[in-house]
Amino acid sequence: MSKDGIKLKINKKRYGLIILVLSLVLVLSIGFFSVIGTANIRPLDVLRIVLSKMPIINKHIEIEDLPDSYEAIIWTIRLPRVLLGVLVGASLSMAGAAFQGLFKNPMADPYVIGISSGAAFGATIAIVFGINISILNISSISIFAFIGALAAVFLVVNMARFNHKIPTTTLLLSGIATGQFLTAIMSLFMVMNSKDLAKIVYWTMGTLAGKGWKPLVSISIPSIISMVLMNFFVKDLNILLTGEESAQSLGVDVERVKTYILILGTFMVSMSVSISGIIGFVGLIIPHMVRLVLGADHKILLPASALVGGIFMISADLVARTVISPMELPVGIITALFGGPFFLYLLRASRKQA
Amino acid sequence: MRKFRGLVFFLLLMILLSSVACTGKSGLENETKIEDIKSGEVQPIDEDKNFPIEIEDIFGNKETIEKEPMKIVSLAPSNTETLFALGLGDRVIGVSSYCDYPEEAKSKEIIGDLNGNNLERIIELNPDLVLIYGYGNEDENRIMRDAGIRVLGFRSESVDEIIHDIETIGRATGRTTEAEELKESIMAKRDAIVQLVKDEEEVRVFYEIWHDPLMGAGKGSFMDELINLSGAANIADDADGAYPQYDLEQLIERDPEVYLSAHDMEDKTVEAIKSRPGYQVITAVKNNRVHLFYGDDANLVSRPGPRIAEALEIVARAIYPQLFE
Repeated sequence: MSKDGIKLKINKKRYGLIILVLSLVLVLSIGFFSVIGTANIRPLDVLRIVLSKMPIINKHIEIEDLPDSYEAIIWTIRLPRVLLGVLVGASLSMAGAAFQGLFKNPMADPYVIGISSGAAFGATIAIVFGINISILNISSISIFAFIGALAAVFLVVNMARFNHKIPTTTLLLSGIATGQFLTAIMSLFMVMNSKDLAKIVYWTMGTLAGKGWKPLVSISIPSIISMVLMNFFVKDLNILLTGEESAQSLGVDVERVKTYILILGTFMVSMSVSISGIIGFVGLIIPHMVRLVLGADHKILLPASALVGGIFMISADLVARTVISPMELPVGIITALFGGPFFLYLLRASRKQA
Repeated sequence: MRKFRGLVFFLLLMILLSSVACTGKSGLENETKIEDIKSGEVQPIDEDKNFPIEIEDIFGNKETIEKEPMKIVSLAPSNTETLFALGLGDRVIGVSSYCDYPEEAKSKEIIGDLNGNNLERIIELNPDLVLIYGYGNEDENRIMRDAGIRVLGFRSESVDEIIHDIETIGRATGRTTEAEELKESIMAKRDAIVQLVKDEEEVRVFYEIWHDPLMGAGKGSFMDELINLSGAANIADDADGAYPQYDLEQLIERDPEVYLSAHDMEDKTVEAIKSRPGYQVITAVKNNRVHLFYGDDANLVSRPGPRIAEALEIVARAIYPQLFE
């Protein structure tokens, strides 16, 4: 036990090394997975196409001999897809890690506290009422998903607030109640507007395919900033683990910290959800996996979760897009299919150790 | 105290269960009685050589139809179209909310939609015959059959199957001559189009079922056959399943020369399709050969019914417009 009262599995001095290694693995995965795809393009050509897009170097790279379709496949389809996967996986996992620490509840994932149903509700409103406004190239569905998620989380938090406090149990309960309520309204809309049914159903299925650069660019900066900001709260999260009363006595403004973390987490998740739709399982399982291996210190847990989440997501998507070509599988199936057993294995292994 | 509460709960549960069981049983008895009286009342006046007839649908359900059906419920748009095409429109007393062709079908009572069929209303109407889509729901079918209603299921994904369905419906309703005529006209039109396109070069076609995620019409789908009959090649025909989620990389690599889809959403336009990421290099987009089916055409190409030859024509026209000028 360290002085923070958190069981450490890894020497703190090694944190830098771990992050470095994970970052390297992530970069290598991005490179590796960009090369692999169902289209029959040589790895060397993939590299040439990517390099030809880079500033400065591009003067020395000629890709005139390659067909346009290669460039379209690699540059407009595969690369943004892989990068979007990294962003979505990282956002979901980091938000999941923060929420689990915040509520000291292993079941708390971005969806339990109402983000998913709020986002889906917002998207449904946009679809059913045919609202068509777009800001910064983000579609109206995405904007409404984001507004819906924020509104739902604030509703949940305010319902749960009790004597200027947000007790964990009421928060989870009101999250579930709000989720059910919004889902019911959504079902009602679907029944009354059956022509929009397909659109709503597919939106809630989640996919990384066919988005291109525009949405990726529009969410990447806000997502990355919110992820960086989240890391300013690692000490507070660690102290919160020791209990709210003692955290208060240690000088942490518990309620304010909770609100900030909640807003940041919601923001990064709804940014992702608004582009990819709902992809389950990642936000719940990845933080647990990382915690089982690296321990519960948020200093390492948050960044490592984000990196592992990114790696995991693009691995799952690689399987989804290649395994039964030319068909694709919904990526949510793969995340659950591979993540589930691996998680159970880790759980068992760590129990034996203890 | 706790034990006592458990006992009370158990007793209440038993009472509840037995009361439910009783009402269910007595209800059923009433039903059969009404049925008996009715079948006793309506005696066939003169013997019809077409009836009684035993009909077996593609799912192996055998129904014996005693007399010419006068009241028919159709719970799928393709079946409704067939009934009207056979001149049985007047006998259709109930349809699904999707039955929008011909125009008269819209004035029929709607007793089925996305959320299921109004079983109580169907049994109340007491039709002689109910035509459902596919196998239907086993429980619903049993309830209808128990109420003395004949239920036949249809699900066709090809011209031959559609013709087979039309013949089956014709026999079940005593309209064999009309069914034969309809079959002849469908086959004549199909052959004419096949003849028209036979010397054309095979064009690569993709039919989009949905865009996000991208889904195409694969092997075994109705659209796959229409494309093949039109003399074109469906680039998605090696995907497993009729409506697979389709890999965008493969779409671009296989490079369709004609891109087809139905206008199923307000914001799905030819321009929107052309501006999707990566689509700019597709030959169909470059050569302005993205074609959307609007309105009734969209229904036509997605509905395995008696207008199949017309569906084939609009697909062939979209692929080889020069032949139809």
